[in-house]
Amino acid sequence: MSVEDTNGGESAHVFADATQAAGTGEALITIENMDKFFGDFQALKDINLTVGLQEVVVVIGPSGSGKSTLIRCVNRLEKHDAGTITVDGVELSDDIKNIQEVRRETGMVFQSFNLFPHLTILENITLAPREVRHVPKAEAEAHAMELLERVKIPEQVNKYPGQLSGGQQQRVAIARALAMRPKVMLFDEPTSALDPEMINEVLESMLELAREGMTMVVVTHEMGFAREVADRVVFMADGEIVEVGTPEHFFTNPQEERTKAFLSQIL
Amino acid sequence: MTDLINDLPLPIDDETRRPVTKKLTAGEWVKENLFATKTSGVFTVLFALIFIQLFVFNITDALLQGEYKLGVVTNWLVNNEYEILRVNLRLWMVGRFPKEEVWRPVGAAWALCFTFSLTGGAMFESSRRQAIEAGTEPPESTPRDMLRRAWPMLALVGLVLILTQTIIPWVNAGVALGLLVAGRWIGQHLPEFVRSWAWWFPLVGLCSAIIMMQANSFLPLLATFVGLAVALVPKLLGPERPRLFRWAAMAGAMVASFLLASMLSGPLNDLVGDPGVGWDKWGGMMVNLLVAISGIVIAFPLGILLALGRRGSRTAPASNQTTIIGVICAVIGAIAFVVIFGTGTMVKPLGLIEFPFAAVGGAVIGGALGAALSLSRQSTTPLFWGLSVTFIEFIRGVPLITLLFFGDSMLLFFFPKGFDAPSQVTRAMIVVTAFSAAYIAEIVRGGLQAVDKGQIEAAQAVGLPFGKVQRLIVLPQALRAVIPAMVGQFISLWKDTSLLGFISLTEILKVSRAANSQPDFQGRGLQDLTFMFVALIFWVVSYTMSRESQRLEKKLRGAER
Ligand SMILES: Nc1ncnc2c1ncn2[C@@H]1O[C@H](COP(=O)(O)OP(=O)(O)OP(=O)(O)O)[C@@H](O)[C@H]1O
Ligand SMILES: [Mg+2]
Repeated sequence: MSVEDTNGGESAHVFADATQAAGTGEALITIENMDKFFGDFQALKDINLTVGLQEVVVVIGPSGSGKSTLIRCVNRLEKHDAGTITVDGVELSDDIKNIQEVRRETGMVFQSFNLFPHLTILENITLAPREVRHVPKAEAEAHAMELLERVKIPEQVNKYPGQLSGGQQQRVAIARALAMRPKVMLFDEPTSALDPEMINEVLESMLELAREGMTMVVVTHEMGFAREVADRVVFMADGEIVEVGTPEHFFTNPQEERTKAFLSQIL
Repeated sequence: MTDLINDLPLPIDDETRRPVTKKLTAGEWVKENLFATKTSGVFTVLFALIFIQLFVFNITDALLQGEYKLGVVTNWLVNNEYEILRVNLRLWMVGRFPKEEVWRPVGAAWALCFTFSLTGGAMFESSRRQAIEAGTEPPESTPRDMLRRAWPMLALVGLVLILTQTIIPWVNAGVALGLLVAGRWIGQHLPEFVRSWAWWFPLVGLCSAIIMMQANSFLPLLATFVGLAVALVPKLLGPERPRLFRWAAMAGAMVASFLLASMLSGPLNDLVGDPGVGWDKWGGMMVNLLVAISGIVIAFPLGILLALGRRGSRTAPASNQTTIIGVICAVIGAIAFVVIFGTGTMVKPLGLIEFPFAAVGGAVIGGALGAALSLSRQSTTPLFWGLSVTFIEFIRGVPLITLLFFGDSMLLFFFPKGFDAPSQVTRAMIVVTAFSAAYIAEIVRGGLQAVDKGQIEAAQAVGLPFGKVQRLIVLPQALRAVIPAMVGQFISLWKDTSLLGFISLTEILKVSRAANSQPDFQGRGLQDLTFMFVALIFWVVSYTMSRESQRLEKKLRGAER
């Protein structure tokens, strides 16, 4: 298996080990020998990955390679079939308590925003803190305003999602995820559904978040962002992690054939 | 950031464009609306011819010949025969409800008028303030708007008043109108703190109405509400309290007050000696309304539960433990429901033997419904799913009239010995409620399917537990999507109450047939008049529901855009 070749003990031609977290060095997410099947189809094969505290990991790869599935397993939107996933010391199992605990600690931003259309922006953001963490209303709203300032759209607070542009919606989605004060943020192609002129405003918000030391796992096709912000880049193909490295290594000196082929296509 | 594109200013155009309306002359109007194209011109002429043939020729013909060719027109329009309506008006309104007790429904109606308009006013004021605070356009409500909404109802009331023989109904209606207006005004001027609890008023109104109808036999029910109110106190005092504490307090207060009131209701009844008029003696429009309302209000949560139960099978597998709890809760809830209906709780005061059953049953109902709802993902077991599907498909596969006959004769079978059999009206209510629940379930299921999967994932991702995902995210969106279908179902249910006459309840259609067989009116061809009167009653309520649902839809759509 190629994963063995690249990630195993003999990491001579790999710049960084997938299980060797960057950031502060303390592991926040640990994925070990994880498999995922959809029926007979194996979407993820023996995944090993560690994400460190305050680290930004960017996941890239061709369509259908399992990037979304990988990060959706981290907060149990998909159930993994073998191996272990541990988030902040809590191992994901069938136990609903563990799942809830992990979900409280992870924020997720989706490609299609998925804001709640029947709630105002303020209600979208304060819903989870109030219902899950039982934060008092006033406190939740004050925090929501702070977050909206951070993503630079405080004036939209009383509108409904349908009244906002795509870029604004995605920034609200980021604020909504942050409202739970998560330890790690998961992004699944947050800019793919946006018009070009709106991509930047969302990336700005993400960049700022990374600078503040948020731990992030980002699936994206924005290579500029990867180069600028990532501590490590993970390249996936056919359900496997093919290569892991710093952006420098990755974009200047890729080792694997599949990586080279992919990069030559998109760069 | 090298690769990133520069931020472009977003073109935001919030201006809503309205079509310009200009005044048309009569000629222009005809041209634009009736003869805009060749095809529309042809249809205009065609419809005009049909209209002339059907109405103008036939009617003038009938008038000229003075025959009963078109009974509708000749008899009551020409000969001015409204006596049948006048004489039987009370029968249409309240059936054989004892005359000296009519103050009860009147008082109940007053209570409902006042409390509902109180809440309406308060909610309107709250949304107005909210809009002002948010800097959006505040809603408006002029007397003209209200008139536009209420005219069918007002017209019906006016017609009924004209037909009355005494002054008392005029006074009653006047008081009701006064209470409506006063309630609205007071509601708008309540202090903020009271306004935010406005949803509580209709419950109080409902309780007082029920008490008024049936004196103290409904004390346990009232007490449950009182218990709920008491239980809200800890919520008011401290939202920071642990949830378990709040739930326990709420449940405890409810059960305690229910038990207390149940125990008191027997002796109290002896003291008062006037239990009121049970709904087994109700008739006329009152019975149509009663059955339709129970078919809407009780069937609504049941329908949602059924829909969730039926959908359950496709979501995550359940652990055995939660499945068992869910099923047990549901079964207990169902039994309690039957017991409540079955002991004549609602038709006569509770005896000392029955009250513990009813009390425990009543306390469990809420809990069971809630538990089943929050566990309905665990309803994924074939059992719960199977129950839902069987129930829905059985009910939907059989005509309502058949179910009514079935309920009339067979339902008694299911009640344990020692309990009084439920009255005929109660049995009709059970059947209609079950019928309605099955249809509502299918409508809700359609709505549930329409909710984007991404919504559920987003809600799960922010950590909402299953029950809250359903309650706060999925159901609101699903129910919004199905408002038209749902109101359509309510409207047809309301009209279906005309079938109750077949199981010899004196609903309004039955009254009109009875009136026509009275010696004074027999064979005088007044059916058309009475049927028209009945049709008007059905239409006014249906049309009002339809209009209000459109308003609601528009309001919600306006918010989301
Ligand atoms: N619910 C599902 N049922 C069956 N197969 C699935 C499901 N979700 C994903 N797959 C399959 O798993 C594989 C990985 O999917 P995934 O969405 O993770 O890819 P991806 O790398 O995110 O692709 P993209 O860049 O297009 O988003 C694909 O072959 C896909 O067809
Ligand atoms: Mg994807």
